[in-house]
Amino acid sequence: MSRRKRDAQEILPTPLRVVAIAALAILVLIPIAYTLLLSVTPDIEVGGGNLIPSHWAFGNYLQMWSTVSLARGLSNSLIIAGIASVIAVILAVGAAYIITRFKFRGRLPYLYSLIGLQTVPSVMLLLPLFVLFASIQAALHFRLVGTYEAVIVTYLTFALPFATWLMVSYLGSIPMDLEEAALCDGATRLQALWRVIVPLVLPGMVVALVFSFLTGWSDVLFASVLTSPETRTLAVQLQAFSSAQEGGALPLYGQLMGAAVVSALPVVILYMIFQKYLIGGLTAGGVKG
Amino acid sequence: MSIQPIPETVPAPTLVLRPERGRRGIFGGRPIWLIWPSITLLVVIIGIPLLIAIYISFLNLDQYTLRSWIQAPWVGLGNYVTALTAGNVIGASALTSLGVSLAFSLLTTLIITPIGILAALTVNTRYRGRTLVRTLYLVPYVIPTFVTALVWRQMFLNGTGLVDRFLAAIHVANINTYWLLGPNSFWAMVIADVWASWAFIYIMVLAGLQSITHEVYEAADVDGASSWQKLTRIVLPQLRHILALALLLSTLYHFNNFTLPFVMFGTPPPLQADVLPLNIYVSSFQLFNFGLGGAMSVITLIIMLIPGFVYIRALRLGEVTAS
Amino acid sequence: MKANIRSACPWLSLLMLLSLVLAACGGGSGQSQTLNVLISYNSTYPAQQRQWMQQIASEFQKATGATIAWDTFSSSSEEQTKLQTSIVSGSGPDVFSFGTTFVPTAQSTKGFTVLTDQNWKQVGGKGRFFQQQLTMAGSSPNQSIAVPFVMRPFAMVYNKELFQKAGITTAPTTWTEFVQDAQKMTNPSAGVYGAEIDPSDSFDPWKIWWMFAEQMGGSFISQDLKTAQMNSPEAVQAVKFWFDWATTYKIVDPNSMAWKAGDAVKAFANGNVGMLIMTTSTLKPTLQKSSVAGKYAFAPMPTVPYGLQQRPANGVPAATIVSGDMLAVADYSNVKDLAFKFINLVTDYQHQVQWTKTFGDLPVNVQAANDLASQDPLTAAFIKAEADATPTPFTGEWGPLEVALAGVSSKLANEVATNRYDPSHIKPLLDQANQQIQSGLH
Repeated sequence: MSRRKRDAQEILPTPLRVVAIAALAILVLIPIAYTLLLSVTPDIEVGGGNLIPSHWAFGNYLQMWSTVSLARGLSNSLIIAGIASVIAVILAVGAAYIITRFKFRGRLPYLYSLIGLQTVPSVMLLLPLFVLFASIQAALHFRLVGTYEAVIVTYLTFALPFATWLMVSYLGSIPMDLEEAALCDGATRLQALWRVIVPLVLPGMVVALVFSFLTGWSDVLFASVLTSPETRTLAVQLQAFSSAQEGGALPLYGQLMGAAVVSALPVVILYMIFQKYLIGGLTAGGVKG
Repeated sequence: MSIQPIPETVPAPTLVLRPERGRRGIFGGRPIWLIWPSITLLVVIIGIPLLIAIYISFLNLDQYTLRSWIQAPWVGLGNYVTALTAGNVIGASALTSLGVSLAFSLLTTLIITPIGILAALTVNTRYRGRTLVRTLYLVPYVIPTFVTALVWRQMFLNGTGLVDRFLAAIHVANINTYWLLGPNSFWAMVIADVWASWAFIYIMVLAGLQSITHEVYEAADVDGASSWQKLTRIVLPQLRHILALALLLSTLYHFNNFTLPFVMFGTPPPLQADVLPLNIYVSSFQLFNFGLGGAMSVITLIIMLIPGFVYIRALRLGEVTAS
Repeated sequence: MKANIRSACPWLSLLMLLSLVLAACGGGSGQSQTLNVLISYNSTYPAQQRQWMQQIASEFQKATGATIAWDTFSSSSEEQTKLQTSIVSGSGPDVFSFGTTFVPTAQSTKGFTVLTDQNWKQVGGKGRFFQQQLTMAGSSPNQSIAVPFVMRPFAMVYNKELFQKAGITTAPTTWTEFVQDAQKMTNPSAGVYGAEIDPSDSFDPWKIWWMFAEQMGGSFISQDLKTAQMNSPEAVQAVKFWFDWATTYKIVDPNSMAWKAGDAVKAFANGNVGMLIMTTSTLKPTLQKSSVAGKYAFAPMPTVPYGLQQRPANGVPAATIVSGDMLAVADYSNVKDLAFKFINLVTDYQHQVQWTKTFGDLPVNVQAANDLASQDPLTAAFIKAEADATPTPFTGEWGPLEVALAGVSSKLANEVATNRYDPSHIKPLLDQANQQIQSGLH
């Protein structure tokens, strides 16, 4: 019998699923289509009376690379957000492992602080953080502001509470039996962690990676004061397109939208690469009984 | 035939920690050092600036005293009193801003939750084109906030923006309805943020769904469960923890969202969209009143800690671990 | 993901530390000195600006052996934040460029070097600079912190075609004429309006109200800088007159309550606005690329208040504020000599002429200004406008004052947009703003 069995996992009946997808797709696509439309509209006509521009300004896509150093901004953002997110996830896994497996003094306060730290409005920290960096810079005599390291460390720390909390949730749901089996087989704690636990929480790690990446990718406030022209991120550069000169220059909306399209692409591609790690879940097997 | 609800695999049971078997060196014993980098970073990069900011909130720090901020005059609770009582001509008073922020964050979270869950459910099974759909869902979320705000600002322009054109075309509203000023500005902000952030819930739910193995669904099928029952008896209970986390974080995130209103409305923003982060920014960086901005930040912090504690208490997380 | 990251943590921390050290060694004290300069990003001529920066840097290196590290800001709020973080931490750019109206607030932070006579000699002497610009260099002639860099007087630009169609021959010189001309050009069914209003902009509203008030004899801050007078009858009248354009005379687009300056420019560039006020010559390149290319002309803004035949006795013909950019040297800088040499370089005759020819801003170098005026009547007109410019009060509260008035404008625009506007609402708002600013005046 080769009757196509309805997948047990299917919660939504197919017609409902199709309608839902269509509705969501439309909602998602309309502003995106509008962005694309604006990106080939001459700057003067953006927001003007007509929806369709008088002529297609494909040149926006060429000109935007020279209006600001877009290529450099793109690579800076990728480097900064990439490194910050990878380190954040690694540290988060380590910290979560300790929290969920061991008792130590300060465990509860640390847990509470992970939530508490996420409530801090980032506007509050801007000036003090800069003061801190400048003090360290002066005291230890090396350049901090304007380097990759300062921005990476900042983003990485901002992403840390959420990433850690996420990993605590994931690790908390993994029974100790699996590790104990590995430990009984003679592995060290760390080996047990990396060989047994990590593959199981991979979906969580990917999620944490995506969020941490986005923290660094879209921040404008801190990047605007912590970066030098060499390390300038995309988010700050996009502001330059909409800068209005006192007394009359027009914001370059057309090019801005083009740059926006280009700046969204890397993350979408990255997600497409990593998303297969979200599939799966707790593998069958492991410890029986 | 009734269905046995599957016992949760994310329990909050009582803690049974392994008694230590004595130190076996750094790799065999407790690798507590794994947590040190995190703690150090959090203390240095967030903790210390936070303390500095709290200190500033007790000072009268303005353009005249900025240079040597440590020696700025002490005003004690003066800034807090001003924050809570004085309205100001720039925007709303801190209390009004607080109300706007709360309404904004709660409403947005409320709206994006069903959308996110629905979206996750639509990709729960394999079918051709699923990858495309999953990628599509994520696009609004990965577009930088700055860009989203600008696009939606263009769309909400009265008279020429897409929204007004559409509403006029279906005869629901005047084509010249103001969205960037007046009471509608609040809704413009909500709509833009809903569009940009429902994927957050979607990702969290999706990750949570992965922890429900196929066998569980099949077992439910064997028991004769309908889709609705699967949803309410298996999926939603399983998602409880991750949903709770997602809702809390979404509320916090939207409450502290500065970039979206800043770029959509500029400064000073319309009263109805004057959320607290924007108010803090204007007070600190445009009016040079850092002390007042600091006081408003601390007030924000205290208020936001309340749902945080509620969450922690509710899950009895002091005991989180597997047994 | 499954790579061998077994004992990553301690090694990772070590690696981070190592890279920090390397960065320190690499970026630390080199043989040559570096001057950090912060100027505003030019979105109209980005490539030319890069070229200019390279050229200046190489000339500077040849002259002094030091390199220039450029940094740019794309909005005044970004610059303001950079300035604040630099002042509070005592480290940042050595040379800042900011608008003339920001100099008072910058000076009040006491974070900028006051120029001594010696310093003035280093930058070419006071006589080199356009007199009006020097009025905004500091709180008093021997307490100056800023050196003029470029000038950008404000004027009005009008659509010649619309003028012709309405039978208007010359640009208005009184605000009464302005309103009448605008009414002649207004044609709502075609979407054309005689004037424009941008109440959601952060800067235009206060400049416009200040101009109106000054012409009527009022001022936002008293001469002795101790009293805020933002709620004087002249100020109230100024605000009322401006919003009357939308509510009473109907010479502006009713949809423009949410407009910022860029939106008004766009409307003009698309031929929908007859007269655009508070613009500078930097608008030219934008207009040249638009549908009104060749159909526009500049004129000074009217100087006689509405309803009057001439200015009252204490009225000032404020056609424009003293406007442009100035350069200041941070007090924490340890390369101040280099900084002054830099300022000297960019304000000499040759470089000023080059700047004007490339970017359109007017030169502050008197010799350059006179030469260019004799060559081009349009430039001459602008330079004359700046010669008649009126300085804004030199108080540290001016920055917050601008923000306060932007808030008033935004609230009033809100009311007009939701049909709750009434002129009687203006005074209470101005009272509130006045109180706020008064509390900051020392």
